[in-house]
Amino acid sequence: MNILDQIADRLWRFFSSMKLALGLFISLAVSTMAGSIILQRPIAEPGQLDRAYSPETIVWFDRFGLLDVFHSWWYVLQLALLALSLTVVSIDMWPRFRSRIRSFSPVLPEDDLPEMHARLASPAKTLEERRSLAAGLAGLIKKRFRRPRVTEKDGKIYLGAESAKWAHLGVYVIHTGIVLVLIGGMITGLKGFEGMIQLSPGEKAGFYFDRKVEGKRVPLGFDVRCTDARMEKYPDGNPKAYFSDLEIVDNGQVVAKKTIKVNDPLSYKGIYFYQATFGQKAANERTSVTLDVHDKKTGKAVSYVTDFDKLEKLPNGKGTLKIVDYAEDIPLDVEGHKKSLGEAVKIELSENGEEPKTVWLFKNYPNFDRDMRGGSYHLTFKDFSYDYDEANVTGLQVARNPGIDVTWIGSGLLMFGLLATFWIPHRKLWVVVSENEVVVAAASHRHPETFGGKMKRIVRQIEADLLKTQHDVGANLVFAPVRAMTSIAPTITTGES
Amino acid sequence: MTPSPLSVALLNYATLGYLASMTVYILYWVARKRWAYVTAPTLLGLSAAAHAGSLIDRWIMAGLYRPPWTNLYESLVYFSLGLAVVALVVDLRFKLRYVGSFVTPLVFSGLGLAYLVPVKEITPLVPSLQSWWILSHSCLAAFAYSGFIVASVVAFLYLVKTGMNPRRLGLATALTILATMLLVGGKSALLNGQYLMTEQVFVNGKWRQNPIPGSDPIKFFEIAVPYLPQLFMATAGLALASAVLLLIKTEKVWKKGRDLLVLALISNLALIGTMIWIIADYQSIGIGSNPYSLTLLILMAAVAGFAVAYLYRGDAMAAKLPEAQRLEKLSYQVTLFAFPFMTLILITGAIWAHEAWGRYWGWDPKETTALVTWLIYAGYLHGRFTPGWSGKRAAIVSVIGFFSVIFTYLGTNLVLSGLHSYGAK
Repeated sequence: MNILDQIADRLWRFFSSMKLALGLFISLAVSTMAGSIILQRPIAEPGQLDRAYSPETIVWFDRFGLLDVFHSWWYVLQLALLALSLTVVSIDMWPRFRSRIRSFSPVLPEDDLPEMHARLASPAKTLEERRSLAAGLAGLIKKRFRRPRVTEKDGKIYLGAESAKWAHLGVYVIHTGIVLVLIGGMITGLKGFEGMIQLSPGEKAGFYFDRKVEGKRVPLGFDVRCTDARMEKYPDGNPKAYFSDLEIVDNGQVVAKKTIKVNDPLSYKGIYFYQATFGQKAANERTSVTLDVHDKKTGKAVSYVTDFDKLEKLPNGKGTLKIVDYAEDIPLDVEGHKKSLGEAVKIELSENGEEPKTVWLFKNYPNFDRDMRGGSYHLTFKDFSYDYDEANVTGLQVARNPGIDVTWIGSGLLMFGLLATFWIPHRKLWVVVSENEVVVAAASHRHPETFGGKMKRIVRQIEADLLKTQHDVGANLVFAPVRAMTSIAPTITTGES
Repeated sequence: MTPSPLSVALLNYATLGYLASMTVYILYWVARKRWAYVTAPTLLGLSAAAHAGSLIDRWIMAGLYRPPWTNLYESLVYFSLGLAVVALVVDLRFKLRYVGSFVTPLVFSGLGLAYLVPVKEITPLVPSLQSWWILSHSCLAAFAYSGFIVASVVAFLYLVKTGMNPRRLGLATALTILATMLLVGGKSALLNGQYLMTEQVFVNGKWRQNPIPGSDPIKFFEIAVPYLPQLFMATAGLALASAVLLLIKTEKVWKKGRDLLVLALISNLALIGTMIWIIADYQSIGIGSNPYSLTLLILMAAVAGFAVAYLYRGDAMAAKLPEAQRLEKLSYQVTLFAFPFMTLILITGAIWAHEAWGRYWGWDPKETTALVTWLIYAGYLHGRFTPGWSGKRAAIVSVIGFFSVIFTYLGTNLVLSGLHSYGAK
């Protein structure tokens, strides 16, 4: 039991030590830098890694997970340790923070004055005068700063006021925010997905291609249909905007409809569709081949206009022909003599029920088939044409981020906590009215300069009040110069937290 | 759209003003002229005002939705202004004239580089940049980066005041120069004696570095440039020799290394001069070919320049500075100012990425290098109240942060390919 306690104590001290936190900052900075400089598999273009590194280097990098740093076990471990350290440190330092928040006493410790203070001669000789002076000063401090607490002790009157003590809690808000951001990232990493869909106008898809596993199709559970995809251009030809009109079809019903563009996605059931890429593809391709079929006996020619893989009957009905291939040029190399034979089509010809023969026809040599092949017909190749329509293709990034809300809440807390911690200081102001002097002192755990200015104005006002009182009582007193404040104002300690 | 003559003229005045202000700032530090105390920040302020006027004019011309920080040229101009303004505020508010002598050369270099960028027109935005977030996200970046740079400069002043080990500083400088040569010149310049610069193509009446998006890719060629490989080799060689000598603790030996460091710096300056001359002389090679290389070289030369000045005149430099505690506190406060902005950049960047690309964090190099900067300054802030990590160590962390900021801003585009690199083209 004792040993367990000791171990627990050691562990607690290890995770609550600032050294661990600093070590994690350094190691995370170094590993993140490594992941920035070395190409990473998930974001590298195909082939980019092989161009950049030699095969041996890639093997070595892979051995240490350096080609996918941010998904490696050691990077995730560092993040987990950071979250743990943050949590333990936060709990561990609570007593100190609690005392900082609660420690305020309206009684100024006169033997241990804060650095920022001023001493003024007191015009109030009797206790009654001091009480009325203190009441006036309390009103002034309330107006200029916060309502002070008033204490009377040994004939002295103590005023004390503080502002924004809760700003100390900012650190907790920050740490909670960071832990939430990490948790949100974890949820997205485990339960989210990213993928791509490519659609042309009129097409729909009920699945997406997963980004992590190439070629993996994942069903969406509903259909996404693209009714139109288009782009706008600037006068100089640069792209101005891409649009895709999308419809979500769930159970046969159109349940959502939106024109998406870059920076403006469509979301349905937590799945977002983003305008990611845009391009064109050939659609409605049309080819046509013109052939003449000559009857060898009669010399009569019949013209055919046909397409690939279309079975055409020969004029006498006893046989078929079919276009199977086309070449823009057939190069010929006879013992070093290079020659170009030009355009050609390959056809399959079957006469009188025989096995089909493969025949090449050359546009530039119309007599080739007549001279080279028997049969009752000879063929000549007249023309080849190819035509197509351009169809827009829109590339949709599909993503689900189930942890996103947690991440946003965490980010908000982080920001709010930072502002509270860095820009809202916990300030304290004390006044002691005694028989001989009036002591004004102030402390701020951050930004004493600005508070110094405010403090100076308050002290000037107090001085003016005292002068007025002096006229009232008719006493002849000399005041300590307020100017002394100038030199001491900026030297308040800020290093405590 | 071409920017208005007013905008161009204002920027010219601003550049000259920064040059003058830089001279006066350095004069103040070196000679302590009394008139310089007022003149230097006045010149800086007037230049920044002209600079801001130029940008505002450009913004009005371009329209509200197209802020003037959306391509490389504008980014350099805008970030230079941010740096000048933050430096001026720190200078006036804390009455510390020494920050100016570090920052004005950086501002001047930033604008000088901007002048070399061939495309200065107000170019229309590509679809991915058409977002409200470009207003906040990129605008905030200037506050964060400038704040960190100024904080790091003050941290460096703190190190100057408290005294650095000259041998180690020299070693760090020599290694930095060497690393820069490796990064910019690369294997081909240092070992194969060849340095390539991209030739631009003349399209639609403009010199262009990159194929126009949406059209067929235009091939562009890389041509080997004379003189530069030799200068890369000379600088790297001198830096290496100096580093070796500086490793040895014998005073006589490392002081020789220190002298070699000066030669390396001179060689580095010659390299920069030659590169600028080539860019200006060969019409088909624009700064667009390698703006980041040149920026990095100039930056490293500036940093090395101050290090060398310290190596020879460290005591005299330190004597004029205010007390160390004040510098330390100031550096901390400026970091406190910049850190929430840096956090906000990461958050707004995540929101924008979520809207545009369908993921709020994709481990893109720009994202990760920004995270590195954030981690470094988070470490700095925590280190300050950890025993043994305040003072000198915290200041060194802050100076490392300076390099990280520069790498986040420029390095990403220089050596890493990523989604943000389009912002520069």
